[in-house]
Amino acid sequence: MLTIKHLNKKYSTIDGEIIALDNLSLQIKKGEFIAIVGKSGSGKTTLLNMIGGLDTPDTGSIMLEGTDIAKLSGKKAALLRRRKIGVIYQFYNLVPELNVSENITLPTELDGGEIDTGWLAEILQMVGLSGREQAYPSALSGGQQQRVAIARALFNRPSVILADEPTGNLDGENSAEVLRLLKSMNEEHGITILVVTHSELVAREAKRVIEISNGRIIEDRRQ
Amino acid sequence: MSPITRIALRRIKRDLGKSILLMVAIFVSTLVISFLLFLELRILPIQEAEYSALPFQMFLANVRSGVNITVVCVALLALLTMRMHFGVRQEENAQTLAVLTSVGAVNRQIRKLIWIDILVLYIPSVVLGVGVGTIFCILIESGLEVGKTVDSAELMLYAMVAIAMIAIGIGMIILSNLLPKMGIKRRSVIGSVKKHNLKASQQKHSYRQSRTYREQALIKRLAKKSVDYHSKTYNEIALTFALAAMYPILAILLFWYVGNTNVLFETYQQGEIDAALSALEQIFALLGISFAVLTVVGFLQAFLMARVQFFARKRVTQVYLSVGMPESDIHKMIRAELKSVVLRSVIILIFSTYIINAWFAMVMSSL
Ligand SMILES: Nc1ncnc2c1ncn2[C@@H]1O[C@H](COP(=O)(O)OP(=O)(O)OP(=O)(O)O)[C@@H](O)[C@H]1O
Ligand SMILES: [Mg+2]
Repeated sequence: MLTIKHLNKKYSTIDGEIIALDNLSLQIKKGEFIAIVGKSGSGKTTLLNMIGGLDTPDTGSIMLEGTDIAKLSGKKAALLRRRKIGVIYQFYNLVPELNVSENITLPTELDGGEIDTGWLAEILQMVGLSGREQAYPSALSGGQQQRVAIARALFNRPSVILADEPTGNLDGENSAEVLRLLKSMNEEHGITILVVTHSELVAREAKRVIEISNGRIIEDRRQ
Repeated sequence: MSPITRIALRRIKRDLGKSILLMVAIFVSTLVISFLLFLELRILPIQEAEYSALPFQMFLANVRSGVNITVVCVALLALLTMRMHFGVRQEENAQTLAVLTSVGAVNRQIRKLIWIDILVLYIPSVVLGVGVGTIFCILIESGLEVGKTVDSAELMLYAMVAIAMIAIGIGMIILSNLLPKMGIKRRSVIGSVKKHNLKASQQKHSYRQSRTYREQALIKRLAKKSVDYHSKTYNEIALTFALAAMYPILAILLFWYVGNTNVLFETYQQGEIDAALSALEQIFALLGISFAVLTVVGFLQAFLMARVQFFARKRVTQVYLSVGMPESDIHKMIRAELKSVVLRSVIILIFSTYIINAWFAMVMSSL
């Protein structure tokens, strides 16, 4: 479903050139639950941003269901994110000016789509935020905010969810909850999940663990 | 309602206070500009041939040039204030823009957010500010010259000033939205917001390593690093402070170059010139008041913008707390940062005072 071939990315900084991705290739099947691990600065976020079309590689291709994300224009990449990809970050996921349900339905509304209120209620129930639809992000705890981000990523029924350290900011209990949600999305809705993580717990639960070092895959194991 | 419109309107509602401040700044600038031009209009008839032999012609010529320079400067300052207000506002947009990008908003939608800002917030602020400023000026004028109606030539002048101010102000904001191609195309949330957190963790590291010795020097260095890193922000704060301080300096320069008016009023009081001269005197008094108001508004705005920027720095500050930097050191650091900002604004101030002063001197000596 997702085929990444010979991805290269260099950044030039004041300290010289940094090779963020070094000829990285990767094949991902539909419905996989993958944890990407590796030392800080190894290129995990760079990889995820490229799959999400938020950054472009110097060379290489990223084929998602027949389209090469690496060659998409900014607009086409945005449309793809809106419809096929859900993105979750460690923090700063929510638009501060929108309340919980507005944040969740944002991608659909940006796309001019109809809001399926039944589905919204179901998702709110699933992430345990029923009754908090009207709350603004500033009034939510970190764990609650993260669950809103997950609900939003899920709302459009994307084919893949990209999560960059989604539990990085949370305590054990909230982390476990986020992990449970990601797993159920994967198992019940068949969504492919790529999660960058430093958490042992998350890595243990994934069906496949990819370790990156210096922009290269040094280990790829299924468990 | 589209989510973009909803976001835009909520932001505008939340930040209404800051926009009112902008409106006040524009209002006061318009008032001062219209005032000064009104003053010039009063001078014209006294400069006519029949009075050409009178000894205060030189003084009148001086006043006119001084007024012209001041009008240009006040208009420039008003435009700069507006531009900066707009810049800071877009900076505050960073998180919203980044999230919108990450969930797949296209450029057109992101631009719409800013266009709504311009339409709902900036255009009304400018129009209202200029409009109320003009009306005030007309009111004060008729108050100054009881019995005399405001003639059509004066109304024309006011209308032209108002239209020019509105056109230039709105034109500039629209341009600054169009020109620097906003780098929001493929910017990730992390890229735009987390950037300074990354930097903070580097600084945290250097604080940990070296806090055992020469703490004072270290705090200074950290402050310097922070100022360098947030250079654009701090330059803007410095510029705002400098702008605020520019108004009274302008007033001083104007009064300095046009000389001591009282002496002249007492010496040459004759015939119908009296009315014009007393009006002149009153205008000078009111000029002083408007400059005072302008200064207050300028400082208020500077304070508000500085507050917004320092609030954004709070996150970084918390990082320092977490590695055990005592609060007193953090305060020292922020004070050191402030000092360098003040230094920057003083440099800007000296530089622009020098230029305006040279301008005054050149024009006055050429008369
Ligand atoms: N915009 C950029 N400009 C310059 N260098 C960058 C940029 N973004 C990333 N890098 C560099 O590319 C390398 C990979 O960064 P990346 O963010 O992908 O690491 P990571 O594996 O996500 O690390 P972490 O676990 O700390 O989040 C790092 O050395 C980083 O400094
Ligand atoms: Mg990362």
